[in-house]
Amino acid sequence: MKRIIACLMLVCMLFATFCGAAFAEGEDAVQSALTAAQSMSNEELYEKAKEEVAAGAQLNFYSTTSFAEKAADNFMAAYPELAGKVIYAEIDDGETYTILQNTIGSGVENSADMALTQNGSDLRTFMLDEGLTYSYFPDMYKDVVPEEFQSPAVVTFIDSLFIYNNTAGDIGLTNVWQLTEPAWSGKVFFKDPTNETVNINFLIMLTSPEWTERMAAAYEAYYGEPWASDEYESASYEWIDKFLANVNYTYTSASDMAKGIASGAGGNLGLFVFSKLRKVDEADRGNLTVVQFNNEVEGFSGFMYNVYATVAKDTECPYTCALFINYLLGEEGFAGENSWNSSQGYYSPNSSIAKPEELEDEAYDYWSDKLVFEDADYIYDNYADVFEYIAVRVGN
Amino acid sequence: MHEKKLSHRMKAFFSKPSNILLVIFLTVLFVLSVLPLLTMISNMFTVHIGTEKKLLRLPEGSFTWNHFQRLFPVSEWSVVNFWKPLGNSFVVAIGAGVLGILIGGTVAWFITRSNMKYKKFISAVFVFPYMMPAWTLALFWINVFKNSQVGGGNVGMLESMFGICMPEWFVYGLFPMVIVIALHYSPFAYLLIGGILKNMDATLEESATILKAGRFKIIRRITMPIVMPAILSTFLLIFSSGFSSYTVPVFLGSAVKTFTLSTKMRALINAGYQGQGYIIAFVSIALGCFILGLNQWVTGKRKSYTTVTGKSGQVSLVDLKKANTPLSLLLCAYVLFFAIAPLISFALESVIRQPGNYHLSNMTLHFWIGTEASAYETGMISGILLNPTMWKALGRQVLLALIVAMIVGTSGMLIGYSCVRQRGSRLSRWVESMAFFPYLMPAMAFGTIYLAVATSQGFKFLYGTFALLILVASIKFLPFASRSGINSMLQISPEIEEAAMVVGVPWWKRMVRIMFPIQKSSILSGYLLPVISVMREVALFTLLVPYARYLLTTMLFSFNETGYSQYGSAVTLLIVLIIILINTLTNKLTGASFDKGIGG
Amino acid sequence: MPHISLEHITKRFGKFVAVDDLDLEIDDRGFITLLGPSGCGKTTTLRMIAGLETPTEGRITLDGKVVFDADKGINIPPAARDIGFLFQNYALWPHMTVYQNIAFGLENLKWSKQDIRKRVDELLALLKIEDFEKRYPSELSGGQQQRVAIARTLAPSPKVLFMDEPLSNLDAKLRQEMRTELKRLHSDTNSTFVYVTHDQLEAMTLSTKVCLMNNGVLQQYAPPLTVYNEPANRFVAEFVGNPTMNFVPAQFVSGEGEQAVLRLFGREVRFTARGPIASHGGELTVGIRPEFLPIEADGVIQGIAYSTLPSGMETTVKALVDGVMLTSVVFGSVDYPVDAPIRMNIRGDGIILFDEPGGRQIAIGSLAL
Repeated sequence: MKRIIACLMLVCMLFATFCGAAFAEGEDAVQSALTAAQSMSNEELYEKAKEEVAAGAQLNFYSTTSFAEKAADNFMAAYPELAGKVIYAEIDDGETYTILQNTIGSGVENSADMALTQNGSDLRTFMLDEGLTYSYFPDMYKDVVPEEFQSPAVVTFIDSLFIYNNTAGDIGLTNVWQLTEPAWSGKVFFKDPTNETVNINFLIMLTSPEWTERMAAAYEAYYGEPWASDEYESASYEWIDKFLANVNYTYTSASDMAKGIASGAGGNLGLFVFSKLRKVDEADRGNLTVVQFNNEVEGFSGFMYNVYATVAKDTECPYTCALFINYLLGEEGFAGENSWNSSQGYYSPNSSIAKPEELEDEAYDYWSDKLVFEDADYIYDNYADVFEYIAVRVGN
Repeated sequence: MHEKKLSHRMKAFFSKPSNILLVIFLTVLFVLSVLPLLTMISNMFTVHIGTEKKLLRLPEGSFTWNHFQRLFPVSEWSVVNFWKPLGNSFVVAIGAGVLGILIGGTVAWFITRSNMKYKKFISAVFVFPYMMPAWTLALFWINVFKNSQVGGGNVGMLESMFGICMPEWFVYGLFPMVIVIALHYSPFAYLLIGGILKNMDATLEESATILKAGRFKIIRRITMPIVMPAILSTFLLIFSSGFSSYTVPVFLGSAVKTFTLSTKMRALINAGYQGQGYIIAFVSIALGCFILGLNQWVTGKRKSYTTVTGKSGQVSLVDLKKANTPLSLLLCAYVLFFAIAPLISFALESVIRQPGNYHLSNMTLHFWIGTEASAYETGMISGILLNPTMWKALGRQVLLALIVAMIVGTSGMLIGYSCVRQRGSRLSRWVESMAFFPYLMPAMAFGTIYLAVATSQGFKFLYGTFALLILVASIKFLPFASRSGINSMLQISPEIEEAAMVVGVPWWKRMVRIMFPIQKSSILSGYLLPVISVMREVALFTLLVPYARYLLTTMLFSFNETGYSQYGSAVTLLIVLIIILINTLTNKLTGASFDKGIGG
Repeated sequence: MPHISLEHITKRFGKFVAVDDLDLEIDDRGFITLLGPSGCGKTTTLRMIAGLETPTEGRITLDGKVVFDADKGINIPPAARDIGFLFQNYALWPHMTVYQNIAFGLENLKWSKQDIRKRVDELLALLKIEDFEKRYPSELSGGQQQRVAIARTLAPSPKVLFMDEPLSNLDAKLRQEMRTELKRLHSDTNSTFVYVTHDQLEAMTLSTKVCLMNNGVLQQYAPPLTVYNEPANRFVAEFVGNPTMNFVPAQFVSGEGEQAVLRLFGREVRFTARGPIASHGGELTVGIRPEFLPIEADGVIQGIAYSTLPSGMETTVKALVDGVMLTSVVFGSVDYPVDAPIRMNIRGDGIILFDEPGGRQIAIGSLAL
């Protein structure tokens, strides 16, 4: 009997020890290291990073974009003493913040030191507001990156565009209000916004004052009369309602959507991540037309969202993280071999990096008045209301 | 005086190893399955960080009824997020349960009770769909039946070969969900019902024959009622699994905007409505308990189904006469289509570059052994067999499967031992039902519960760890092991152990040298089932892995979700082949097999 | 009323021959036992007659009607053979009450509710199980289950009743009791009983005729006392009777017709048969029932007591004579110390000669020592 009690007590003690190990340390150290890193040169950071690595640290970085894996390889090639110390882990967009929120500061082995994440509003809610990750931006790029993309640092922009199957000819999409017509029912493909944060963010952005105005203007241009309704709060809400009623959710991934529309019926239109065109087999690539490269669309011809880099509060290698972020923001990192810039649909916030000529794409600036841009602050404030409006429409 | 008596009684109580085991298991199960449930319940009443906090303007962790008020009273929100998905889940769960039992039960009857041909082949292959992750069957379904008239207008196999276009309800939505889930679980029905039919005393049916009951009357009045407990527990299983199936509805439902409770649960949790998500999880569990209660109420205690095993060797097989050949061929065609064809299609899909083009020129082994740096096009650096991430994920999955099997198999055996030795005592009943409880918890809900636990203060050290996966899988897969443990221990008479006790053999030695060897094959089967379950499980792990490529199945799911279909097919094939290999090897080496773990 | 006949019935399971070319005539209202060691084919024979098993070859006629004929492809299903079958483990349906179990067969005959009620009540009374009507089988004792099973079998008043070791699951006392009941039932119901057992005592006490089988081959088919007194061969002689018959090796010395001189226990003895002895010369075995081997002070055969087994009314004495173990039964209770000298005689006219090898019975008669 005594032995059993002793055993039980031992189990309890072990348990308590585990719990005790959970608290993190040196958070202020990370913040001050990051502040110090801002003004350092890459060479100085490399020295610091080598020290960190020598002390046993490794950089686990979590990302939702697969290009990051290649970027890490290139980074380690550029800084050979860090070879094997940068570990990429892919996470699912939907679970990004649940996972980060729970691993950072938990003392879990291989928890994230750095994260490349989408959805600025959630990043603020779950990470920055809670002090789980810190933003970092190097002084060296302060002049070439617009200030709004510095805190937190944006490492790339990604756009989703209206793209259609041209095998039945031009679909003649010139105004987004066309997509609310019954004729488009089941022919517009879009990933379920309740499962895809960037899609819901785009719809939320439409309800912003600026876009409410622009949607009303597009309405007037299309129907020839100013927008008015008792039923809807604004033109944007009406558009969202009728657009979602027409949407077909057959494809659960952007790659499938790109491939599926390319090999599917003529006249089908998708609003999906532009860069996924690279997944389409060459034989089918010609079946797809990007609406914007064909004609202007009244309203918008897609939307643009940001990928942010932030550093975990409990990282053991803040300088390595800083160096990696510097790398991603620079020419080498963003435009290196097989990295973001080699595909259409990725844009660097660093204005000194241009899109390669051979790609059928334009620079970030070209898109500035043609797409719906993410405003993390607006989404942060309005998320819940609009989400619920949209969620009930997806399920109906 | 009293105290002394009590201490004597305690001493007597704990002098039996089976009692010590029961107390330990009771404690462990309470901590690992009841406490998490309580944590989840408390989460149904609290405000979470993020959306809820913003929406309710209350501090994190404060008490609220809001989640219930939003989810239950009829409103546009609750209809879309709860009531309609609830209805769909019911349709899927009941439909799959009934269909799964019909398919599995029919095949079981033909195999055990008729003179059908090709029995060996059919029964060997019929269980394949159970070894594949369920959603890969859904993908197979879509690949075969998609056509130019539905969805995105992409041509599937059936249309490209025969020009046949199936209507939308056939390709997407509740109908295929029911079919796919039923197909996936019908082997289970087959093994459970077949086991009973095989062991059932044939004279029960023969005596009815002599009393002039017709064949169908015998099936209806004699066979069915006797097989009923197996049917009901199979139904319970398929119902819970169908109700909580997440992966199948994701692929088959979104095209026609058909959502089920589990897809909504995940969407709500991801959108920041954790409270409502947990309520949905709780509803699934409560339903499982309700059906279990119903099951026990229906079968009742009076009609004991323990039948004296008769001369079952003398079962006279029903002569199918002229129908034999057509029926046998039909069944062969069935297993070929649903068990072999998916494997062939996975193999094919994994070697073609451009989907839908099965020309030899379009084939490549790149997705298996390619080395070109084509991350640009395919998202992965190389073919899966050369990819270190894949090998690591595979290694983790196999390791997880083995560790879980060790834990679950051993616990199952010990639970079986102690419950059988103390049969009838309250303690043993508690342990038995608590070990069964995780069976009722849908995998997704179970993952959600542990997510809630691992993300609550004091337990964060668990989150994203391998240990957590071991823990969760061990609890989730315990019910079958404990059941097979109890069944196998029931077959050993206590005298056998007592004979060793008399000559002073210590307890552990009795277990290792006597109990285990006697029931070797059935105990090993108890170890094998968790291996297979872990090898193809995804819903349980998807919320708990630190990142998608951590395990092979979560990696596969993310491949399929993000459209790396060739990699996905390759990994699916790999998983199925590994499972078949493990099963065959174990069977050859030890005589144990996974169907024995279930059937019995 | 039915007469059952089996002609050239053979049943093979793969290569294994379970029943080999069996001919059997079962008279109306007989109580026939199929007796034999386990695996001898008796249950298979029973099941073939009932239609539960299909013979490989041969013909079965039931009540003048051919129910099975391998050559003509006739195979009437069991339901159409108008039989009752009582299974070894009773085969009571666990999910039905006693009443439902008994009524099931009558329902199949489309009886009206009242008639069923009446008939079931009758049977419940006949078998004294009125109190258990609403119980499930698992709530009954073995004997009660047995009675329910009998009631269920009797309910449709079958003309032939087949029973497959129905008493083997009961304890000794209950078995005794049920035997009495069965015999009584046989005369009450006026039907033909075919009964499978491996217990020779059961066969002896119950049946009008015993069909003894071994390895699928019919050994002897005769009334019990004939089987006991005039066994067809050594196997039958050994199987029937308790304690078992004594077998003593012997040689022919001379003789012909009904007379013979044998060498037995090293001395020459004269054997007088009831009829002509089937064969003379060579080795043979003499079979002596224990009751023909009295222990007497003036006994000619000398041996020593090996062990004594008194059971009150009688005592079984085992003695060693010339290395052969002999069994004798003595009335009353006696006790011989181990290794005490014993003298025995051989008396009676039921001494049997079996030829060797083969063990065929060649004569029955008396020995003069």
